[in-house]
Amino acid sequence: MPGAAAGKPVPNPSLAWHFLRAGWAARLALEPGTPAFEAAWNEVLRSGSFQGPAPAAPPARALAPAALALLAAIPAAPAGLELQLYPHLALHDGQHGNNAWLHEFPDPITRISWGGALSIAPRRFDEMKLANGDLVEVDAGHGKLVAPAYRHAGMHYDQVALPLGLGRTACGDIGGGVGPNAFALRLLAGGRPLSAGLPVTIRKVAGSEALAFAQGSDVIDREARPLVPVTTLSAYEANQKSGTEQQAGGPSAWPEHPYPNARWAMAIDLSKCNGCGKCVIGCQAENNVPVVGRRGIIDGREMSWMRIDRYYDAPKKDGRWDADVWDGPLPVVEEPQVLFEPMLCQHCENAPCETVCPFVATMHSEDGLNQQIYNRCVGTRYCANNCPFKVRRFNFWEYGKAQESALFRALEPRIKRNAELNTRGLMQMKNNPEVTVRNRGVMEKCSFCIQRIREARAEATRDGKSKVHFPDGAVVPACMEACPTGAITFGDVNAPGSKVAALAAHPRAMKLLEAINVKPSISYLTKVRNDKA
Amino acid sequence: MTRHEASPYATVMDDSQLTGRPIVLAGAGPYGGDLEIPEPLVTGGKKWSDVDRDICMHAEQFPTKKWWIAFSVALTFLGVLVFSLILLFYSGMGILGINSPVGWGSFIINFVFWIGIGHAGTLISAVLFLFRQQWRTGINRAAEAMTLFAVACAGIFPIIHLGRAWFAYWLVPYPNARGPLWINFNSPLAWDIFAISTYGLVSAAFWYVGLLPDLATVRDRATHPWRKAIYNAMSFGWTGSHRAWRHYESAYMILAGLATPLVFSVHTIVSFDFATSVMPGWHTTIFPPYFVIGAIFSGFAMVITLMTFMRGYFGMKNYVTLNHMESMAKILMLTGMLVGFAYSTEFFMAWYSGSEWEGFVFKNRAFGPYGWAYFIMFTCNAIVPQIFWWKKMRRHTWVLFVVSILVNVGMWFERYVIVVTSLHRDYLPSSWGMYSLTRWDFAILFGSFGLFFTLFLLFVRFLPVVAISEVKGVMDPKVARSAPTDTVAAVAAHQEA
Amino acid sequence: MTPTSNKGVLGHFCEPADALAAAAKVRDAGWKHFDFLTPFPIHGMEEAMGQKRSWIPWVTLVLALCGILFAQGLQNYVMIFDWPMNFGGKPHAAWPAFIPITFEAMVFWAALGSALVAIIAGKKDTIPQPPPMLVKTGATIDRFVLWISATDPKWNAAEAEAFVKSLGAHGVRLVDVEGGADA
Repeated sequence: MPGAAAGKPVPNPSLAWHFLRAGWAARLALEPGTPAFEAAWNEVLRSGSFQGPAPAAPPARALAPAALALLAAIPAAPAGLELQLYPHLALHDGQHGNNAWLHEFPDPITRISWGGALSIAPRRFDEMKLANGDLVEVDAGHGKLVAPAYRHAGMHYDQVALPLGLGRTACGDIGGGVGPNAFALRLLAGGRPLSAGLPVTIRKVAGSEALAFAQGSDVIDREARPLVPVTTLSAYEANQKSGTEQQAGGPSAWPEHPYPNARWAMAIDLSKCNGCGKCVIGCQAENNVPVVGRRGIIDGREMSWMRIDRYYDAPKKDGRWDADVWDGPLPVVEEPQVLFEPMLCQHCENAPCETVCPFVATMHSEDGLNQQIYNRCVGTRYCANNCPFKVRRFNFWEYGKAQESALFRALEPRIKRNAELNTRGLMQMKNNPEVTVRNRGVMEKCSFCIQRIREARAEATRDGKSKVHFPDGAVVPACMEACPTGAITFGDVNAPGSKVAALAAHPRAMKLLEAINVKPSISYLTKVRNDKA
Repeated sequence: MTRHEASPYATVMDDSQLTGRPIVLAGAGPYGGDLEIPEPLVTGGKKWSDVDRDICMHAEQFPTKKWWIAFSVALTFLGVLVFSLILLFYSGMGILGINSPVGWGSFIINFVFWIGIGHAGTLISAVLFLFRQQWRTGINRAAEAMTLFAVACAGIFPIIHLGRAWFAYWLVPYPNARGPLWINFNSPLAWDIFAISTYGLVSAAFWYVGLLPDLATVRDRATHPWRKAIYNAMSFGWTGSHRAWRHYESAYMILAGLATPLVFSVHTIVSFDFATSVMPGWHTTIFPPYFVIGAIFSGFAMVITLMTFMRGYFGMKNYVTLNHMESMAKILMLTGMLVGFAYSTEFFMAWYSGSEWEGFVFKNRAFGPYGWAYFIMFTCNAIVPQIFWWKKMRRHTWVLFVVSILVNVGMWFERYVIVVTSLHRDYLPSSWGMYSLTRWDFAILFGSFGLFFTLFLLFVRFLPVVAISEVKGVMDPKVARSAPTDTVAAVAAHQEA
Repeated sequence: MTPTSNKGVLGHFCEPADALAAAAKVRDAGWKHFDFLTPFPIHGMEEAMGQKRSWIPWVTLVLALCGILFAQGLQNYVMIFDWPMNFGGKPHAAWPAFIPITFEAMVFWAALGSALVAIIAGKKDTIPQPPPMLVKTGATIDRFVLWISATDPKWNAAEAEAFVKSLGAHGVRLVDVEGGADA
């Protein structure tokens, strides 16, 4: 510091240092240059904090009824239908309207992507003889809007809901014209926007709009298809394995391949998973997963490697799940139980996909991964057909680079849209350089973030330790990194004392489809519902 | 196979006089009882020299107007196919209807459909040969040609259904500089390439060996020196020498004996594409016999369709008689009933097995969103052929033609039901989806028929459509011979007449 | 060696039964270089002509074994020794998976090889001087033609002609054609 060793500094008001010291001098009520000031100044700098005098106690506060009278009167609950406008989970109020990932991200409950629908209670929906996607006009008095209808299990009969944030018109090629603009129904009253409790009438109008559902069927009969481990607290206390019952697999004709060194596995705790979907976006960001757009989702060509399936328990009839609900809407169940299940490549030990690829594009590695070799894949799609979890994703179009030929772009408009969604302008910059961008005709799927695994191995080798086993936290895949509740655990199941090994051995743990002997590497821990509170 | 003694067949009948029942000569038997002799296989009192003229006619005259009309229609469809394939290669698989979960759609359906059709030709050529069914001689040449062209049509689909079809050659296990990186022999698709290529080449060899004597016949009838030279080269200078016939017959018997297991093994291997998977509805041991029987069924239907054309449009009534058509109708009915039996067995086992997955798939097949396809399949395959219990219906040209078309439609839908219903709703309800064909799927499906008929019409134009030497062998020598004093020139003149 | 001229006796029969009877007589009379040209094969003609059965089935057997060895060799070498990989937990020596290709390779080698051999044998396994192609024999139409070649050890033109006439053949004539069989 200038002049620090020289003793008394020469005041130079243009130096910020002096300005700072002058400010502190005022606060401390001491003169700069005096030993008391210097000691206090150095202490402040050293500790980084300053303990000042305690402030005086704040004055007592009380509600002023007069102030409350200033608020506008709360409207009485409407007698008929009430509209609830809620911010879109991903787009919020629409500020992210030009973000393709957020549009493609399906709403965790409705599973609708690239748009939104008017949620209507099942009983009212059936009374109005609607089908998902039929257009309905919502008349709020101060505004009208036509939106596609959605049979939303669990909605109150007297409520309808619409997401805000859609329907922007001037936000770039991606988000323009996607979904209905529910702001048209928001009421500005007394200088404040009201977006809930709005009295509305709805009526069916001609036409329908396909809804881009990212999921097939909503209903699961857990007795016939024990695919989601769920139990209640009382049942769990009686039997810790409750909820994991399923048909056991048969004996194997062949000896198993050995995995003597590191072996990667994952555990997903369904009690912690709240279906937020951050893992989906994390995976998309890390692995250059392309965006397929509304048309792509409707065509059934979703590309997300990770998905959060949302099921409703099928209703019970005579104590048994009623399995005859596969076609047609779920019968009216007033309080549906929602189940979330993150689904990704299970990296099965006896992977049905590996056996059937003739080109040697997928095989099992020595550390337990189901590998997909992009540059060898010729795209027979036999592996995707044989996957019982349907987690494999095929590049039906060229998403990585734009198709140059104007002729083909004209003949097939979807090509143009793919380019808008994935490759325009600086969009290539979003790609993770550690991960290949796949071209068309190639199959892809969750790789357990193999790039991160390989990096950990490379680091271990670089450090001179040829690691046989990896400690917890050495490799964190993108989904685990993104998960806010810590539902996903990943690690070396062969490492002594690893967290994932403990979870896989826990009585709550269940591996799916044991009946067909695929032996997944992912264990799901039961969702334990508190039925006692 | 051919007999030199007096033909056991009745002598001279017209096609319209055939009844389909043997002729009974009362008291003419060796012990005084009734003697039954079968009706002739070649009607119209034809001589051997007539056979040459009738059959080679289409290959010798400038193509008739009939042929040109048929050919231009076929070429149009072929053009549609070519255009669609160009679009497919440049745009991507997205132009089709396939998606997740239904990763296989019309291309694989068409593949199994065409391969199945091919099997009947081999059955007629090889299996009926081993069973000494002499009536096969009227149809085996055209049937075997049908097999070859069906295999050619089928063969394009495993290539075009690939996402990166330009790398299809990686499926051939040849030593290379990529490791060498071979193929995965566990995969049924790898078995398929061996099976289909074997089937195609062996069928071609079998067909060609059978063609050699007939090509020599065409050569001997030819007048233009180029035509003579070409057909001579194609027939490898066949003279009719019995020393050559000896080896020919041995090879023919061997090829028939080897082609017979091919009929069963090739479609079994194709069925393994489905049977070795874990998908409910596919993972079932009934598939190999089910597919083989279905293949023979659909193939015979296509043969009946083609033979109806040959008889009517191309005038082959005397060689492919109503008796031939009736025999084929009987086989069609038999295989149809077996197919119906297979459907019922599948349904029964889906329930009896107690497997929830399997039971659901079958309920979904019959009563789910694709129930209409199941209904078409069942009606066309199991119910429609029952009309052939009535002899009159078996011998009615229009009924035969319509039933054969319906059977092929039904068999296409059978593959549709198999492929689509098992994929669209499998283990996890969240991945359930729907599938429908797009305009390009249809274009390529109908375009493949264009390819098939183009090839078949070219065959009709350039090659003898009936196995001349084999047909001659089953004719009564007393009727078919020429007069001993006729010189060769007189015979030639008689042929021109 | 292609002869530059074809000399022999031609005669024809109109029915297969006649040709068969004649063949036995020709064989018994001691003629060696003779042949019958027919539009379709006649059952029993091999014995009547004194020929042994075709050796092609042995070739087929050998080729079939080659096919099996080839397929088994390729698959086992590739999957066990050269680059073994873990496919779906299956063992490296996945013998059930190897069966379909082994079977198909066996049929492939046996069938194509036999067909090829038969075509070649048809051309090569013949008498030293086959009947000339320039003469229209009608053998592919409806004649059952007897040809006795001049290369036969007991050849005598007049005797041959008389002998053939005695068999009941029609159109018996001595043929002497320049230019050979492959004209």
